[in-house]
This record gives sequence, structure tokens and C-alpha cells, in this order.
Amino acid sequence: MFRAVINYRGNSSTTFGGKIFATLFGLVFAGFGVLFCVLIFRDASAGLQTWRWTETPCTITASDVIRQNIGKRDGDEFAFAVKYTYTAKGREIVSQQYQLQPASSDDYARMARLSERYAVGAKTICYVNSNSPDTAVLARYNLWTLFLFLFPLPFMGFGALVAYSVWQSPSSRPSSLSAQAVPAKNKSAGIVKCSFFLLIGGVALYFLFLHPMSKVIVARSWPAVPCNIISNAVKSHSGSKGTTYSINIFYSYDFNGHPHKSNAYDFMSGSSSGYAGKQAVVSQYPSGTKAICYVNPNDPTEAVLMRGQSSMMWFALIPLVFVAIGGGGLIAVLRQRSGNPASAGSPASSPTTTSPTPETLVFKPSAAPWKMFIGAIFVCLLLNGLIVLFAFKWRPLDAFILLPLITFGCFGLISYGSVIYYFLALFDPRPHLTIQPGAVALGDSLHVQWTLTGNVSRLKNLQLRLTGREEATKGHGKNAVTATSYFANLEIANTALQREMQRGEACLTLPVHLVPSFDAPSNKIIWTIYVLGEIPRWPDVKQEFPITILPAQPAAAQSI
Amino acid sequence: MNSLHIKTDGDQTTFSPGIEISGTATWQLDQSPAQIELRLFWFTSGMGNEDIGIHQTISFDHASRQDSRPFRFQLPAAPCSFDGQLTTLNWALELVAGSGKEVARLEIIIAPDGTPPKLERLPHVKQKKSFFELGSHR
Repeated sequence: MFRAVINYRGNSSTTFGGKIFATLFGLVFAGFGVLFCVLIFRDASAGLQTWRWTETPCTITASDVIRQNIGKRDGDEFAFAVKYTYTAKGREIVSQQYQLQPASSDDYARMARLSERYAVGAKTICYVNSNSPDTAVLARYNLWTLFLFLFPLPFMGFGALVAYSVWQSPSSRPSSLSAQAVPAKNKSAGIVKCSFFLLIGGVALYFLFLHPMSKVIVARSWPAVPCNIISNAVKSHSGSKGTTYSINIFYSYDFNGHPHKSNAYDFMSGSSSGYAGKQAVVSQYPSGTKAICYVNPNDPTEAVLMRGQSSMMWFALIPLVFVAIGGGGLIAVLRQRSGNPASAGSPASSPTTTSPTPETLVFKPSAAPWKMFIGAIFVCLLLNGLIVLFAFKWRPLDAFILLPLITFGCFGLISYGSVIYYFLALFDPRPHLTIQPGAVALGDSLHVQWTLTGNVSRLKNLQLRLTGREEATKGHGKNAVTATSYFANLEIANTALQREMQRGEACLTLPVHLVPSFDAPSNKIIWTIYVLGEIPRWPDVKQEFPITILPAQPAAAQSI
Repeated sequence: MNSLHIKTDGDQTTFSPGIEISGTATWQLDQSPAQIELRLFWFTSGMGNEDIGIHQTISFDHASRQDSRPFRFQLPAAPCSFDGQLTTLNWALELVAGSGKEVARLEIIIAPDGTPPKLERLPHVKQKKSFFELGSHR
């Protein structure tokens, strides 16, 4: 059997080649972070200069949204074109620069809002470079952009940590084993990790689902307005994972006597794979035809052709998985027992119970059958729902899609079977146990009384057993693997008599040479009473009741 | 040259749970330690992650560079040492100087009969399986 002592105190086993590889890995990782930082800094350093430029009155002389890159795969389709005049060093100067970077977008409404804000004839403020008065901007560098620096930091930190720690000699670390007893650091790391998942999931969920969904709800009261379709196309976008597509229908409409334009089809932005579905939508809006769009009365630059939910919105629920993992993990970490901290002069809490326990312990039937049934329904709905969604999304199905779909389909069928199995198990007789004493010491007698409710006549046989097992967990979080080894399997009762199966009692004297319950974070000794009722051609009664076994009393221990 | 040493009375390393043990901690260090402690603790070894718990700590105040101090610990009633297939529970005394780089450790056994119980894997039980396989093999 594999046995190993986890080495917390050094990495002396790492070969020189391994250290070089780990160092290079860390440096490359950190290097990417540094590269991103340099790129961000390059833009930021130029942009931040604009905050030192002189505020100067100016007048807008031209303002429009222009179309560009029409039919091209890459590049934004709309740009804000502006012209304004200002006076610097005694002469009138004309500038066309909105920001240091040109303002462009695939969203017409964004550019239209800029055009409305800087309407022709408007008096506003521009910022003039004192060293070069011919250079000016209408909008200074957006300081929120500086938060981009936060993204490469984890890469840099992780890479640097890997490269540093691999060369840290074991002797430079504490060689005290007992010093490892304070797990506060692990808990903090868990909180940070889970919070990160929760944050990323929450932000993605907001932008991909909650925000569009709130728009869908609000848009129910938006007025329907006739609009003219100017152009229609499925726009292609090149990406690292292949080409993606978006619906791009450009249309004009009048609202409150003012002409407007928009290219928003629905409230989902971005692009995705799947050309055919988008082409089908685009074909419904030929150029030159009339259609109905829905206009935001508070901001008439905002309009959509389809104000309901789109199928893409349900895919946008995927970040919920991150929220669930992060939130669930955070709760688990916060509820985690904080180990056995060293406290000078006073005994720490023990992983083995020795304190007095209740005289009697009553176990009601666990909710496990219901939990299993609900879990099976959830898995079945999720699995089969995804299969149906994917099957519709990727029509027509080719071999590459069909093969994984068939595989998933098999699991889908199994999940139906499990739902039926756990549904039938709900009608099994339910065991109620009473044990005396509530926690029994090794060498003492355990008295068990049981009652089965429900249709006991279907039972062929009933067994109650006391089992002891070791559980050892290696790794942490999602990489954790738990091994189990049973060392005790003691029969409490085994009967086929109808009357005894319905109600009975038995006594078991525990061997003194075994070990009591032990509950440390990664290593446990677990004692349970199992109830097994055999039912022919039906899911068996299977319930497990954990109990506490105490250390042997001194008198019993001495009699070994 | 730093040296730390733990000695129990009678050089005993096997004890019954709940009894009091005593001995002497001795050290000779290059410089006076800011802090020196003797810890009685348990730790696991085996297949899983290492779990460690300190039962009791004695801090030696005003420790000089070279010193010898008596100690006395009340052993706990549990957990006792055991030797499982996946996990072994060990007990030890550890003398730790400063930040923990200078250490002396003495492993001890706490067991009612002096021998840690050995947990044998039940051969007829399918490991990692539910109870229902357990019963049917008996």
C-alpha cells in the first residue's frame, strides 16, 4: 500500500532540472503579467498627461456618428467624429480629437450619445496641451482604466512566488513540526480563493444575465415605434477560439420628432458561435423594409428590435456555477473548525471526544432518500436540459457534435434511471434508532433499539452493523481525494423475523483494542451504525447513523 | 553550534494516557533565544494530509544561551497513538528555539498497553463502497 508522510518542511526532493523548469514556468507566468502591466502603463502614462493639460473653453462645430469598416471582419463599425475650435496663445485652433484614442464602437447608441452630448454649437471645455497648443482633447483619460492594473497582478505574484519558493532552501524554513499546527494561513487562502470565484462569477452574472434581464423587464413598458431598416448583416468577429458572429441590423426611427438610429437587436451584447440562427434572424429584417422597434423613453438613443429574453440569456447563467462554488466554498471555509491552535500552558481542543455524553441518543430516519431523489432530479434536468439546448443550438448536427451528444445522451438515460430508483426508494420502510449510552466507550456495551415505520412486510432481511473506518484526505479543495479503509464490521443484529424486523433491540460489547472516534481535518476515524433492509426487486433500505465511540475507561484499558 | 535535547525521566518513551510525565529540556545556543518552548503535540502521518494538534506548551522564560530546565506534562486521555492502514497517529515532544529553525523532537507513544493498536484492513470489505457491500460479504 502506498504510504507517504506529507513533507511540509521543504522541497529537498525536487531535482535541479525540476527547479529550473519551475523557475522558468514562474518567470514566464510573471513575465506575462509584467508585459500586460507595461502595455497598460504605456497607455496610462500618455493618458494621465491629459490631466495636466489646461482647461480651455471651446465650441463644437461638427458632431456626427460615422460608419466605418462596413463588411469588414474586424474593427468597430461606428466612430464619433467631432470638430471643435478653441483659442490658445492668441490664435484660434481647430481640433478633431475626442480623446487620445479614437472613440469607436460596434454599438451605435454609445457613439450617438457622445454626438448628442457634444452637439453642434455647444459650448464646452476642452483640454489643451500647454507644450503643444495644437493638441487638445474633449475628454481626459478615464481614471477607472487604472483598475486594469489589478488584472496582471495575480499573474505576477503567482509567477514570482513559484520562482522564489522553488529555490528557498529547506533550512531557511522552520523545521518545527508543531509550528505547522496553526492553520490560519490555509483558511485565509481559502477565503481569498472563494471570494475571487464569487467576485468573478458575480460580476459576470451581473453583466451577462442580471443587467440584460433587468432591461428586458423594464422594456416591457417601452413604446413600440416604426423603424426603417438601413442594413442587415451577420457580423463576423475573429477570436483566439475561432470566428464568432453577431446580429447587426442597422435601423432608423423617429421619437418625439427627433431622428435616431440604432443597431441593437436585443439586450445581449457580444458575439457567439453559430451562424445559421443569426442569419435566420437577420433575414427577417431586409434592408429598406419597415419594422417595429422599442425605444427607451428616457434615453431615445437606446432602442431594440427584440425586447424579450433571448436563448443566449440562459447560457449567460453559467457564471452561476462560479457564484455557487465561490459562495458555497466561502461558507464552508468560514464554518470550518479552526484546528488546534497552540496556547501556552493550556490544553487545546482534542480531536477525540472524552467529555460526558447524553444517556440516550435518538436517531430519526435521515432525509437522505429525499436528498438523493431531489439531487437525481436536478442532475437529470441539468444534463438533459443541456443536451436539448446544445442539440438545438448546433443544428444541423454534424459528426463532431453528434458523438459527444450521444455520449451525454447515454448519461442522460442513466440519470432518468436514477430518478426512478430514488423515487422508489422513498417508499422504503424508515428506521428509527435509539442507542444507549449516547456515546459508548471501547470495552463497554452498546444497547440499540430500532423501529421500522412503513411497509415492513416487504423486507426479506434486516441487518444492523457497527462499522469503523479510517478516512484520509490528500490534497485540498477540488483536488482533494479521500481514501477509506474499514477496520471494524461488527454485527449488532441480523434477523428475518417479521416481528423483530419491525421492532427490536440488541446489545453489542465493543472490543477494547480498537480506536475511538477521531476527527481531525484530513484524517478521521468514523464509527457508524448501518441499517440494511433487503427488499426483493426494489431499492433496499440503506441508512447510516454516525455515532461517537469514546476511549476505553482506564479500568477496561488496564484489563487488556 | 546549536544543540537542543529533550530527556524524559528514565528515558521512557511509552506512556499510558492521562498520566503525568516529567523530564529535562537542555539547550546550548550561539545566542540567547528570544523565546524557547517545549510543546506536547500529536501529528498524523500516512496517506492523507498531515494533521497536527498541540496539546500543551511550556514557555521557558528568561532563557539563557545555555540552560537546562525541568518540565512536567499531564498527558491527555485521548487521542492515543494508533497505527492504521491510512493514518498513523503519533505523539511527540518538541523543543523549539526562536522562530522554529532550531528544534529537538522526541517521539513518544501514548497507549493503554504500551503498544499502539494496529488497524487491519478488512479483506472482505470492498473499500470506498457503501455499506451494502459490507453486509453482503459477511
